[in-house]
Amino acid sequence: MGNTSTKESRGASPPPHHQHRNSRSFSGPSSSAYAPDMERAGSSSLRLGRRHRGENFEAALLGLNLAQHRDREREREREEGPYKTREERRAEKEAERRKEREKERERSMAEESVDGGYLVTVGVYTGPEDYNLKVVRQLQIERRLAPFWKGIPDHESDWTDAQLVAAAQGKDIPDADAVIPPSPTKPANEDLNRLTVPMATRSRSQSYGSDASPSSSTGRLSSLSLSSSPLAGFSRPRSKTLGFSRSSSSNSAPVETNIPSKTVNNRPIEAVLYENASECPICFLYYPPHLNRTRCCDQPICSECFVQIKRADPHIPEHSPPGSPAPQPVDQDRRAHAGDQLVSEPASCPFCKQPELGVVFTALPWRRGLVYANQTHPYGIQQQSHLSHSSNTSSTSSLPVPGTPTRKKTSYAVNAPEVITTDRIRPDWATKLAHAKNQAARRAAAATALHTAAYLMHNMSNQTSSASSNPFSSRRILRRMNNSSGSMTPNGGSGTVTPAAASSTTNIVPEVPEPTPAAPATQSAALQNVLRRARMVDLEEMMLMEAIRLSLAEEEERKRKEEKEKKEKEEANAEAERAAARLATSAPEPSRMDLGKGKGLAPRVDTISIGRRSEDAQSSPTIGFGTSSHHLKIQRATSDVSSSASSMKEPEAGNSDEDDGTEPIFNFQSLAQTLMEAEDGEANGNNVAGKGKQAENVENVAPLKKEADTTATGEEPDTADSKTAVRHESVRVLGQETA
Amino acid sequence: MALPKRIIKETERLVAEPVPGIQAIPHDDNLRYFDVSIHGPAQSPYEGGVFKLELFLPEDYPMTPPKIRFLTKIYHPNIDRLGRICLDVLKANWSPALQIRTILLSIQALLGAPNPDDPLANDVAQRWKEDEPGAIATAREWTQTHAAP
Amino acid sequence: MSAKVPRNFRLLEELEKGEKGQGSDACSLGLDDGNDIMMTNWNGTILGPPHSVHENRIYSVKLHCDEQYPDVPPTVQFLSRINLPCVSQEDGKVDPTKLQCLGNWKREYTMETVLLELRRFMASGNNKKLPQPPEGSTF
Repeated sequence: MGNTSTKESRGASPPPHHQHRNSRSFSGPSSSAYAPDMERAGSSSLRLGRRHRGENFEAALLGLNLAQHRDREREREREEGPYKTREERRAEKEAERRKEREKERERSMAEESVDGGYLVTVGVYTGPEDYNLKVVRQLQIERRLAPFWKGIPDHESDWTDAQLVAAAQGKDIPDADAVIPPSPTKPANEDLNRLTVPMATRSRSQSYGSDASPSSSTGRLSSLSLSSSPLAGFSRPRSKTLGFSRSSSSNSAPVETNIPSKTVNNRPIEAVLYENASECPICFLYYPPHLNRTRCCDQPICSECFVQIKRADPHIPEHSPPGSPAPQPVDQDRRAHAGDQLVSEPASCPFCKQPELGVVFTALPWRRGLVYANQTHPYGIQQQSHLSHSSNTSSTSSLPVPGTPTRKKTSYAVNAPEVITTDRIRPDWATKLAHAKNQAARRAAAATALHTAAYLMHNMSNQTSSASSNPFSSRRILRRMNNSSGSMTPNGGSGTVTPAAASSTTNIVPEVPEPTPAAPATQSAALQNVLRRARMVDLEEMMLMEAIRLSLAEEEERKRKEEKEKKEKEEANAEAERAAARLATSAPEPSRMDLGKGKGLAPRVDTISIGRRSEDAQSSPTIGFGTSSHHLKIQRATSDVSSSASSMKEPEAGNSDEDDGTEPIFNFQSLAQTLMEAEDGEANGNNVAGKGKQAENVENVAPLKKEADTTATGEEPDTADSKTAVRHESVRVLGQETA
Repeated sequence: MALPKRIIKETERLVAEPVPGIQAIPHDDNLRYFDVSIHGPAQSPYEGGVFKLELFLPEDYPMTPPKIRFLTKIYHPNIDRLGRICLDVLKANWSPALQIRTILLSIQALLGAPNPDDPLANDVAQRWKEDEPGAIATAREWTQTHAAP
Repeated sequence: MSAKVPRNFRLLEELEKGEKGQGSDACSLGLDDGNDIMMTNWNGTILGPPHSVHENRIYSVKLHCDEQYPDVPPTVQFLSRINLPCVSQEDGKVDPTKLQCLGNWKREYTMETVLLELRRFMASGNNKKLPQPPEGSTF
């Protein structure tokens, strides 16, 4: 439910004040009690002292919840009115889309054709058409890709012209002695010789978006003696009449010209085309024998099928036998990988499975229908310069000789100029992949920050109550600040920021002020903040319950692997560089916090080493959520928010040390939103670090139920476990360091 | 749009030139939905069994693979308790050049060559690795119990 | 006419949607018996909608998809006690005539649709204020 709604709220992304205020208007009786707190949260300047901060926490919780509630309300509003489920709305949209497409198809089929075929699909497939229509259109007019010929269901080799025409027009097949009904559109007196335009070499064509020389193209155009040609009369800048804007070559848009004849050598065009029809091995329809052929294995494939073939959606690379439906190990892997791991392999050949499917179309020896005026003259154009951007290599070797419709080679390199790849007609694949990666990275980073923050708070509270007993926490905090959220601290840590993580930086930084210290010095300040917010453990609880619904365990798991990688990298550089200093300043645990407070880099390093040291000795987890008493109290409170108010305030008063306490609120909120946003994306198909856990069981381990149980018992087995795992992992890594 | 020609032709060809040991018959009221039966390959623990499956050709078939699952209980590392099949050509390795016929043959081949390293049914795969003769015996038992013709 | 997904494959889709975590966050769904090849009985949970008496409660329901699903709606029965006009206080059964998505069932609807609609129903009008039996009680 939240999945679709978050998008909307995000779009507006009002400042936190707004959110609170807005949410008030939605407040039912149950929530009105918290309104004052929300107000305070919104105007932090009014709040002084720790007690109020406690309320701010609470407000943060509420703010977070309310932000979601608001989303839900909004969704609910949207869903009200005439009763419609999401499915129905989707179906309506789909129907509308189909209607549009049908209209455009009719128009195009009536007005436009290329060599007896069409420039729009003729309906073999009914799914959405996500190829680039303009690119395909241009390639077809250029005769670099077969037009969308109508596929005929049956074909006999002894059909007469009349029968062939009927078949191609989708009519009943007449008797063999039937005559061709006169076509009203058939021009009376054609000069067939003049209308049969010599074939221009395919490589002469201009590539969409790669028109290298606008000036030369206009020059070319004028140099063509169109006035003496019968074609001139049909010439018109169709790109304009059709409302196409050819982005990069608008000033040199090829002028489309029509050769209207419906006959070839005095025979109906359909009869000529379908005389030796061949079956497309994918849709099983019969087409003119001049189909596209795969570049790799020279198999025929009709354009209708070809435009359906595309890259898989961005996904985590699969191991073992490719394509195995993510059994357990793969699933774990999936969770472990961040967005930068997403891949999208080029489509492979359906016949020989060679990667990077591409087809070669050998144009017919004659032309009918649309051509580009500036290409009708066989010798008017310099070749070479306007081959596809990706295919500038070696065009000379494979230039087809004009007039020879036979394929010169049995296989072509993927970058041969004749080859049209699936990527070529879907130029946006890279954007899509980048987007998916970004989404995933964003999500990962936000989740990290969220978890880090929530975790920090818990740890710090542990620490203040028993500072010396739990050295791990502060080490972990710092490490996390440096590393896990390394993507968010460009200058903060020693971490090697991976490209993907770096790319997420821009997105995350503005939203995550708190865990992203601008400089090492401020990290200790951040630490203080964190300490103050010790009580926010239950923020995590509530977020788990209400908002994120992202399993902590999974995130931790994913983080763990991520960190392992990063950690290993870091060992090699920054961390190692400081090893000496670290060892020198190593101090017993109790000093850790003091050091950590005031100073920048050195103390941080110091705590790291201490954490490591004591961790080596420590084998039992001390961090589990279920261990602290106030945690239990808060657990109970999750089902009754009002009671949680008091339980939060109280410890807060005992613990926190002072100062600027408002940002965390907004932090969490924005983080949570980022997360939800990311989840959104995930739901849209990038099923990245998914809730794969659920996949483990076919039967009913209803996740909600699970969570309910944990809430009830006050335990977080998953979380605790995975954290222990993380810790052990860290121990290992750091242990190496010591050794 | 009526039933795509490809589906019609595939169906016709399945009837005209049936594959030995494999049968696929479309439902009268849904021509994309097939009742399938596959004979367990000889020399496999499934020999002598006739396994029922169901097959559905989704809207965008053949751009997406057919959906298939076993309806007969079967003890096999690549087939789970709900009859779902772990087979690459049914997932990422699907190609629109493949057909119902080829897919059913692949499934028959999978019965003859279980692949416990790429499991769907983890417990079965585990057993297959640790105690292959035992696993095979169980598979044989199940075949007799559930897949008797 | 687009392809009509048969019952079993439709139920598999619904199952897999949950397994892959693509479903709604506000409800969940799982097979009652992982060995039931016919996938007849399901367990669902609904997270009580916010701003209502149901907030933070988790409701368990059973869903039963017979042979004709999804041409006919599933039968739904609350396990968790709940005071809601469409739910029988005898046994927790949801009265299909009182819940629009069941009464006007369409083939495109899923079990998730039902759970979400139930949730929406809980949050609507008076229903969000109805006094509720103690949390955790069952029918």
